[in-house]
Amino acid sequence: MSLRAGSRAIGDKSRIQSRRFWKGRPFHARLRTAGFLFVLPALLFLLIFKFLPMLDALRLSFFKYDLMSAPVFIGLQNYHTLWNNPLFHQAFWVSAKYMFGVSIPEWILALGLAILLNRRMPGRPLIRLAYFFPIAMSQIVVAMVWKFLYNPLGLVNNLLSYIGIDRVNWLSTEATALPALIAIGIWRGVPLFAVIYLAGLQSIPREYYEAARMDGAGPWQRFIHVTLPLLTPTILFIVVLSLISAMKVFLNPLVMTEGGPNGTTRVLPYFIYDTGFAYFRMGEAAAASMVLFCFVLGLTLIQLRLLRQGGPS
Amino acid sequence: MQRSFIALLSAALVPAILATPSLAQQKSITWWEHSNPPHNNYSQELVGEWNKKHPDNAVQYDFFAMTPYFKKLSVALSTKSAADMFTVVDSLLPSFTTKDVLAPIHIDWLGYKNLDDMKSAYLPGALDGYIHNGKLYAVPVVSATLSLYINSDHFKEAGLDPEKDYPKTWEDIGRIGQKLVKRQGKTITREGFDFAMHSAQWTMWYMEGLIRQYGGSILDASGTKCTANSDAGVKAMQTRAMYVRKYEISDPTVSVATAALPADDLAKGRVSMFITHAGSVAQFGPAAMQHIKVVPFPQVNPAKPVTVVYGFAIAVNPTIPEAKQKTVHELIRFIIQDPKGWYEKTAYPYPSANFLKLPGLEEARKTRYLDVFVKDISTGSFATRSPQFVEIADAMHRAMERVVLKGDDEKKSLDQACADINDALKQQ
Repeated sequence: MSLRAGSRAIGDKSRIQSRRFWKGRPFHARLRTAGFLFVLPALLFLLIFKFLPMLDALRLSFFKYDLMSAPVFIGLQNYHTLWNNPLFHQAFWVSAKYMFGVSIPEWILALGLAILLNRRMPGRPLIRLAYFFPIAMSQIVVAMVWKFLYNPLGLVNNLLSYIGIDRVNWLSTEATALPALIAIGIWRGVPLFAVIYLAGLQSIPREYYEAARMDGAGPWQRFIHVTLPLLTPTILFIVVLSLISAMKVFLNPLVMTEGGPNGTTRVLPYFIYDTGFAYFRMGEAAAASMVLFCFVLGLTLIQLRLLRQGGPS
Repeated sequence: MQRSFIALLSAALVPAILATPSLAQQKSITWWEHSNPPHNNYSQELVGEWNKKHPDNAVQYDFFAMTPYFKKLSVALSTKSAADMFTVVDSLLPSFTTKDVLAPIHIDWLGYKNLDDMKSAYLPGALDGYIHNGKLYAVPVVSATLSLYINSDHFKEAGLDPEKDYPKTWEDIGRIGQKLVKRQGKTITREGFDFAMHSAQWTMWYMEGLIRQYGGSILDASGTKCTANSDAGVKAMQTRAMYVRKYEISDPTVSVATAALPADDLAKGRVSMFITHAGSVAQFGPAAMQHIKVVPFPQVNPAKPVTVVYGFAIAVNPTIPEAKQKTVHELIRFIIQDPKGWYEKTAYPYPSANFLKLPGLEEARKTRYLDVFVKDISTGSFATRSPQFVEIADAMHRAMERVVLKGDDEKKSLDQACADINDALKQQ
């Protein structure tokens, strides 16, 4: 038998085997298998680049490891060190302040923006595009642009000088550095959440509003009794998503303030980065990242529970 | 079945083949450095020359922004994926040498008989920052110290003669700075003097110089205990704070968040006096330097000058084969063969013993302040040596921030810094 004929025979055989594999199975099982095969590459990617490193971080949190020497098992010592480290406490509270400082205004402003964009108005697509612009920009560009805007000689101070406000060194003053970063977080987050709110608003059937209007409900009553209840799952989703993303902020403090002044913008992810890669205390950094992970996981579980409670509506 | 097997095998092999470096790549030498435009330009020039002469051992050169570079380097060393040779700042060397991730330099391959022979070819103490347990781990390419840069125009404008009236002591800076500072209401629009707040590394260079001048040190002789909260440390911190509290010539909120480069404000005339390294001469350029004069690092007692030196040096990756290490040493020898070239292109003096006597430097000694820099280098020694250097520097920086930004008591703030530093030292 020639090589080509041989390989053709093998090909035919494997095609037959493949057909047999699918033929004997019910439709749903075939669908499940096909679906699994489709998501397999993504699953493998997540497993290799996300879950395995997370497991390794958990393992490392029980070791003393300086990146260059062999790791030494020390049990819970890293967690104990963290507990006694005032810088860790400071970083945690900075993160918490940032998280609520960014998220709460985002929930309100994004809803307001979505309601505004949901109305018929001239040039609506253009306005939507303009509001979406901050999300489309690379985060590093955002950080650099805002660093210039906040410069003592920058646009923000120039504008404020017209109303008689003295020059403020926004990013280097303890009282203003974190609020300055929070303002950027809000500016960047509001359009994204407004889009999600908009999708939620547009899924509310018009008939409900018409029925409420016929019953004599005014705009505020319609908002309270129709919009808000039907938007509850979206609101819950946005609440948790915004909290989690704010808790993980890293690039803006890194590029704009390097955690200063005096640690007032040193968020938890920045503390983890410094501890691991500047101080070579990988074990302690891994322990801190486990604390962050547990905090974020806790928020996610609360979201799931709340979603179930407020769910099917 | 066989077809599936072949397909699977191909899928596995193709990325493996693509990932395998080609023969040419295996023979080439990789070199990493921190970003510093004049320095990088000269390195690239040298690489070009080397590659012409040694096409079989061509160099692939890369440079990275300073802070991320040293973090990248640490990770690369831990994963054994660092370049064949790389430039390091002296203060980070103990973090690497104590963990055995650098190859000792083969002094004989550089053409010297032994370490003492090599030391005699350099300025006294110039190699000390790169020696660990009697072995040399890096070869200096530039040596640096801090000197005082003053804006001559601002001096003249205030009725001062920059040639005679420049500050010699820290007190002088405060006094003269009051004549140079400009305000609009309560806001300082031109600092009389800017005591750098840009990074912990700069804080260490400034504060360590000051503490040493008062007769103290940041760590004790064994390097295991913080002594920065001693009387000398407190006096140094009080000196630093007086520019904000007593003389009000310095804006402590000028930091990394306000300027891309620490010395930028001086070059742009927003600061009248600033302490920076020799490399700033090249970074500012001749146009800006026409308005700037360089004078020695300020002292507590000018009769007994004390300075802090630092430097950048090339280290070798220990994981590369010995034959390649030998080629890398040849390349290092090639790179450092022309100290005058390094000086002319980067403005950093080269710490060789005969540097000032090299022909062609007479003009630079007069016009580019070479004498000032070499004098400041010759009165200096390297900053604190510790594998925990970064943590120590961060703790000192935080102490300074507490004092000048929050108005905390100097002693209390330094006690806190020492507590943080001692905690870090326990991690060794």
